[in-house]
Amino acid sequence: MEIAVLFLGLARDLTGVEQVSLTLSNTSSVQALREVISVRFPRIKSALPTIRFAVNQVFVTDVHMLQENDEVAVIPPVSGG
Amino acid sequence: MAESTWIELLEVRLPVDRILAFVSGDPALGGIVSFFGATRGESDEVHGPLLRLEYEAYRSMALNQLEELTQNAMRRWGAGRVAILHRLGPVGVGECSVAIAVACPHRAEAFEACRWLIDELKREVPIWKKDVFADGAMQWVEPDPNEQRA
Repeated sequence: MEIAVLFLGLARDLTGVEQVSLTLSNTSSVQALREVISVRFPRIKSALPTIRFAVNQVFVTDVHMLQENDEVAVIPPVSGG
Repeated sequence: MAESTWIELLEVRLPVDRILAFVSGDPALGGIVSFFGATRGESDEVHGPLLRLEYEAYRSMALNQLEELTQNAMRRWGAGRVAILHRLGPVGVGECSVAIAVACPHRAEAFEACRWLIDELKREVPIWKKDVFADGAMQWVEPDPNEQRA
C-alpha cells in the first residue's frame, strides 16, 4: 500500500523533503514505517528515537497498524509556546 | 449565546486587548486568568545575540489539539470562555508568541486551567520554533522539560 508521509520541522530538514509517498506491505505498523524511513533517509536515524508519529492528526504508538490513504506525520519534539 | 472559544494560529501581533475583552463580560465568570509568552533576549557564545524566533506548525493537527485541550479545560474546570492564540512565522525578541486566557466562575479554577493549557500546549501541540541569531545561524529549539521556557 501507498502511504503519504509528511515531515515536519527538524524531520523535514533532515530528510530534505516535506512529503513523500512510501510503499509498505499491507500489514505494516508504525514501527515498520520507522524502519523504512531510517533506511530511506539515513540522516534522520539519530533523531528517530525522539520522533513521534501522528496518523490522521492523532498521535499513535509504534504498534498502531497503518491503512491505505492514512495521513502520516513525522513529528519531532514540539517546542511551541 | 456568545461564542465561548477562540482558537487561532496567526502571523501578526497578538491582539491583546481583544483577547482580554473576549474572555470578559460574562457575569457568571468571576475569575479571569491570562498568560502571555514572549521571546526572551538571549545570547549564544558562538552566534551572538538572538534576533528572533521562527515558528511553524502542523496547522490542521495543532488546531484540532487546541480545540480538544479547550474542551477539556471547559469540562474539568468549568471554564466558560477560553482563548488560545499562537503566532507563526517570525517573532522578535520581546514580542508575544502565545496567549492563553481563561474565564471561570472563580479564580482557583481559572489559574489551574490556564497553567494546564500552556503546559499541555508546550508538550503536545505540533508547533516548533527555530532560534535565529545575529550571525544568521538558525537552529531548532530543543525542548527541555526542566526549563520553563515560554
